[in-house]
Amino acid sequence: MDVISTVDRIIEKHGTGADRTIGILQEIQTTFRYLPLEALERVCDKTEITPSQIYGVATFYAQFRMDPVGEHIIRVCHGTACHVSGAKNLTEALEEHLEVKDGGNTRDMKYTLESVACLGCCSLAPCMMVDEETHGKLDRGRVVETIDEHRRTIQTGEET
Amino acid sequence: MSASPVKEVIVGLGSCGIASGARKTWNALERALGSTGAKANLGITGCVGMCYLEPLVEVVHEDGSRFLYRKVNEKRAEQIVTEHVCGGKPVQKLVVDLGAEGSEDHAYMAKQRRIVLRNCGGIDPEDIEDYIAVGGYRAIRRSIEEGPEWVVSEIKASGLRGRGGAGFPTGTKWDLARRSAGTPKYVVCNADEGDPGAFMDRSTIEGDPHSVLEGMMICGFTVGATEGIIYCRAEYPLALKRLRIAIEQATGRGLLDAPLTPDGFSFHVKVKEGAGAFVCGEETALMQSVMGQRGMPKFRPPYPAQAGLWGKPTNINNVETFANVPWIIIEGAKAFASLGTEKSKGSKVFALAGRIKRGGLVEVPMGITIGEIVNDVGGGTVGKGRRLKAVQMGGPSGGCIPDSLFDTRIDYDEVTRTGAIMGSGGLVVMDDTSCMVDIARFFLDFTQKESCGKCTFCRIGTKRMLEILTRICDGEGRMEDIDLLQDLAYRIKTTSLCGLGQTAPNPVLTTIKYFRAEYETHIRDHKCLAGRCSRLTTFHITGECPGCMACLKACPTKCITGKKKEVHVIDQGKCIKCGVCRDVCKYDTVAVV
Amino acid sequence: MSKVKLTMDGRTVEADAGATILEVARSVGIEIPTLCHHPELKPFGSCFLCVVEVKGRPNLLPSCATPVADGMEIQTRSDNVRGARKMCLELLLSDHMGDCLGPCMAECPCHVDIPGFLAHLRSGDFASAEALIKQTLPLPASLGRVCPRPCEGACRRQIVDAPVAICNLKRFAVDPALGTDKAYRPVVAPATGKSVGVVGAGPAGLACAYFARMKGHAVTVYEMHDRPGGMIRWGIPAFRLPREVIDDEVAVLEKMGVEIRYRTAIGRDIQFGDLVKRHDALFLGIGAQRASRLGCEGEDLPEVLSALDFLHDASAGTRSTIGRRVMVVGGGNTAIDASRTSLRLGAEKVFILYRRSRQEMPAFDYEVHEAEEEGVEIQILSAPVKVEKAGGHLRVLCIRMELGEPDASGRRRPVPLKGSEYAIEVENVVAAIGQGVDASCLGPDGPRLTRWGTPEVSMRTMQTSIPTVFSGGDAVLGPDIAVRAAAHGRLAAVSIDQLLRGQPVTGDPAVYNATMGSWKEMPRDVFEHVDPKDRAKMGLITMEERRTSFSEVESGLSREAGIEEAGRCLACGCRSVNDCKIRKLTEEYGVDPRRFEGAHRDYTVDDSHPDVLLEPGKCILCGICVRLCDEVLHTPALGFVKRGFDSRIAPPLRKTLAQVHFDGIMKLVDACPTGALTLKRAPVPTYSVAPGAGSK
Repeated sequence: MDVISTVDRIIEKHGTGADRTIGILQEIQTTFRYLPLEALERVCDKTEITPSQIYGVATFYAQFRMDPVGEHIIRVCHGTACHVSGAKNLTEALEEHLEVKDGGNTRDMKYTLESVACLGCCSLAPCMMVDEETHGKLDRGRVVETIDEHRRTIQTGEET
Repeated sequence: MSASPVKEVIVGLGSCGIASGARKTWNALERALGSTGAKANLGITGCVGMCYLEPLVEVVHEDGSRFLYRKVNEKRAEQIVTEHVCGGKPVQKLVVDLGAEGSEDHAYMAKQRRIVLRNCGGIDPEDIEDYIAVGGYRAIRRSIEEGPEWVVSEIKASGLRGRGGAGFPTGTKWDLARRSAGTPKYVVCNADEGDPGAFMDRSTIEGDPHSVLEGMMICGFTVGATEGIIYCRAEYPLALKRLRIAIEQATGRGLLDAPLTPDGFSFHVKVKEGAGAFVCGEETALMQSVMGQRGMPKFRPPYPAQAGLWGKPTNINNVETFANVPWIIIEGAKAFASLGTEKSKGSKVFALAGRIKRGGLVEVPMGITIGEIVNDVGGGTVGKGRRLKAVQMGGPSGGCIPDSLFDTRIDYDEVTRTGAIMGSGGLVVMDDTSCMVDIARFFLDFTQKESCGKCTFCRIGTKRMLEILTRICDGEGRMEDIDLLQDLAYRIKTTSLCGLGQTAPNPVLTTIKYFRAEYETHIRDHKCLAGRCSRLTTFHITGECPGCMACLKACPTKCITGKKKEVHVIDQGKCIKCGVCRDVCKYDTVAVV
Repeated sequence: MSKVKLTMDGRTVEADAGATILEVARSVGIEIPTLCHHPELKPFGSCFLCVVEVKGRPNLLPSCATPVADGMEIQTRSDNVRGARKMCLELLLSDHMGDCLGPCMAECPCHVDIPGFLAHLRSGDFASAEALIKQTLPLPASLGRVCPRPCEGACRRQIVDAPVAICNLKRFAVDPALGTDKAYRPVVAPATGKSVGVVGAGPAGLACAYFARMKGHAVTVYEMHDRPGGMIRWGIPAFRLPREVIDDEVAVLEKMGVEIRYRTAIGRDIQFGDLVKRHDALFLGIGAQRASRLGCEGEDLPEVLSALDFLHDASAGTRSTIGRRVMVVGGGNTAIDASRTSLRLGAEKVFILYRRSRQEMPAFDYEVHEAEEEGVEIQILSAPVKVEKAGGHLRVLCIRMELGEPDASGRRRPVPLKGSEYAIEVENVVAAIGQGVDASCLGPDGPRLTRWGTPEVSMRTMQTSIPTVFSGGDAVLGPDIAVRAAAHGRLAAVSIDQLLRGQPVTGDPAVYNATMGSWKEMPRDVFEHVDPKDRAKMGLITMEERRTSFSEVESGLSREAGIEEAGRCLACGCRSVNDCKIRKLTEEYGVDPRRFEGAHRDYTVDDSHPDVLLEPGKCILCGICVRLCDEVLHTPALGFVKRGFDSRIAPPLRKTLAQVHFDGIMKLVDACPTGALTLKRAPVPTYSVAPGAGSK
């Protein structure tokens, strides 16, 4: 995927004002799964956004990543309700099962495991999101089952 | 029994519902309805607040009778289609009967006064016609008829105060923006609900997005703003989707981006996504983020109403605040002010969660006591042998209130006297398996990660507080640590730039105030009697164990041995202190020693 | 502009409405400290150092951003405010990665400005290097030959390759001018009319004399031997420290006007009481000169010599021979010196007997190495049990030892192995097993002694129980190193000067010194950008000459080698040390820098720019540089990166400072309140704050 032309298209869609920074970065990240430096530099060339602004914003917000992430993001909720309901156990179980450290990518780059502050599903604690899908009332066993099932689904999807 | 045919089957597809498997329920219903050839429509709705019963499905008859079904999994979905939709016989044991006095579900709803949540669970949030059918977009018309000064006086008379937590009188805020010079003016809806444990705003937007839009329009008209911005956190993809649909539909209906008054007032709304920064819930940081900058707060004055976005007058309100407005305009300020306490009028949405039987979203009049919410509405604590210990209110800016103060009435002011705050509405219930030192550490961990880093005391002070708390939870605390924590806490509270820093010490201060003994036990005895701090915990199965094997099976490291009907034994060498054995034990024979 | 009336610290003040509290305070002469405030920039709200208390407001308010209002009651110096400012500084310092002084300078007991003099050497300016060294050390040529160099142990260069040869370079700097008119002589202040007596012309006494004389006091030194130097002359052989070197350095003191009276021993030729009467203040540098006895039968035989006497006589020239076979007992530098001296006096076989193992030998590694190169044999885990005359020589009965449990000093105690006795035949035994302090020469009117027989002193001022009497060096510490003795002498002179001027005697001012800690704890890649280079090797004379003469073994560094070696210095220590706001405030607010120890950032350095050094470890995130770039200079050279505790200031998009250079970058250097942005070629700062008991 050509970075420059893709970025140019994104800029055209969002506009060149300094207030477009977050929207542009979000779309760049959705497209490339992280923020390539080259893309950011192109944004500075073609918009009113300055290098210190774009880099300051890119490194400020938790959503943005300067390095590639896995195809699917697992977000284990560590909000209050989930915390008192044992969210730690979920993260530990996933770390073990996927052989990955919290915050890291699996070796096959299929999954990134993250802890997030709150997904807003507190009455179903403890919960996690896999991409856009939320799963609640999990425990060590169920969380592994959920991921395994997800893996099966994407494998089937890939085979077809 | 109803002779009228079934018109609609509605599935609760808020995020809670989805997290409980509602999509599977939907798929099962679709299959079942398709294969049986039933004529009923399959629709969706938002969160009705009874999250403890999700997935919820409602069956609506032509004659208007409605049956709400609880915990509908795929099997039950098929059963409902077969027996009720086709067979005409409701599956009674699955029906939620809100009218039955003494039933759990009745207790859950009985004390609620649903204003903000008035339409949630009752309409399809992705269909503007549903909203209009229940009286939507009448309030903006009324406001235009009566004029801005009337709106201001109504909102003032209602006593509505900012529902984001700060509680500033909404009418006064709108008036200030109205009087400020500058153009264009902005209306901002703060939907960056970042408190862990809070999902009021999410549910409101997912269930009734138009109520928020209408509230913003009324505000825009009143203060003279033509630009509306909804700043919603990116972690709410469903809410964002429903907002965008709502805006598109409203625009299509000529309500947005079209002149609404003879002199051409028109209102434009756009959605800006947050990118993962709790601090952007603070007004000045939010505005920085909207303008494409780092979310680092600024000094006030100037206040946003005087000079906000790009230096122009900006009115910022929370989702819940806006959602109240259309109801107040139609039903009247007096009706709103008839609820609540002297200084805190109306109702408030709370997200009830934690170790509670019936968790979910509830909207109750201000002035209800903590005990009433926890015990009457929420049903008390869950799990055999568990004892209620405290509630955490106000998220990371709030504090822990012990059960001895459960007769405290909930409003902006009385809760503050305990040292906690009512906050945005998060209410997490804790029992004796919750360690208060761990809770303080949990919140500091959160605040620390979310600190923007601008000012000294918050940036470095919260880190140091966290380190001390971590040390205590790891068994390396020193008796001087408690004083050091309080010293730091006091200074951070009184010497930080924004609300995040100013309130970050609250969980520490309240837990030391009410649960000092737990700190001392951690430090002096190296014990965590709640069984949370793994280095200070030892689980032990008492002699009363009947030998049911439940813990054996659940244990992730297989460190429990024992045969049926024999007292089980934990191998301390292998035990990782995860506490699952205690969670699954139905006989309360797993003790912390 | 309308006016408002308010009170500030109890004073009624009239001010323009809309002015900030800070502006108003400054206009009436009330000082409020700030860090992130800058006259050309809008108030920011980072440091929160400038907070004040306003009646009726629960929070403290930043004075740089709060407008005054009518009727405001402001306190700028209340306990609450001072407490907040103190904690603010403590928090900032807990995450401050930098050194005020280089670790070498901090580790040196005299706090010689090492990075400073090395910088002078780098540019070939020997005169300035010498002058700088002599601000804190009067005998650098001597000490540059015998000091055990604690500075090099702390040198951060060894993360890359090997420590800088600081000690050798000290000698290198002063040798060229030694004994000439060009030798640096400090300016002596006008006569004060006060008189200071110094007992002992060793390193402690000479240092005290030097600094006391600099202050303008009349100084008389009483020395029991006939030449100056004390232990460095009589206890260290000439092949390590030539006599002329000592004499040339002491000559400078005499040129300054210090009077030295030789062959005058206290207790013998002059009494303590008389000295107290004669002088306004007295310094006792009597050293630790009582040799420990062998502690076994036969120790009094005439062929059994004490190392101190042996070395003294060799140095004085009164002994020019020694037996054919010599056993030296002991493991310290004195034992090494005695063994090498024996070789030069003609002994054919010299060996050292030490009762513990090699690791426990207190002698310096390079000394032991040089001794073994010359042919000295070292026998470990052995001790003498009995010395008896046998024919024309001695027969020493020895026993082997093994190491048992550690004793009070932490070293494993040697335990004799039964049945392992053996005999050695030698002509002489030299006992070098330790020295003690003999304060009996001070008589009954002398100052109070500790239970070890040393004068009791306050380590902060070197004052004894008699207010006008001071002491230091080996006399107080027991046998120790010369540079520490010199440090005591200097400190005593500071205290004496305070005493004679009628000021409270408090010694050196407590000066805050931030440090990044030991090089051992720093990440290995911190100096990745530095190319390794071998440490300069000290020249040595031939082995033939070494074994047969007392000529100086180490011949020095060539001019090129020395200047190049000085170039290996990484210039630790902060160029902003004299104008760092935090450093100044730390003392004023009684800051305890250890109060909030915890996680902290790593030390990093952006060395890319030719003129400007960026060290984000020292940044306090005041944002002045970023704001100047945004609001005044309109360039995106620097920005905030990351968030929270991990926030940093850096050039954006992972660029280096050189890549974002712009005209006007100097403005940022000037404005930086700490040493995060400094000028590389800044004039070598002579640390204007007196080096002293650094607090960290």
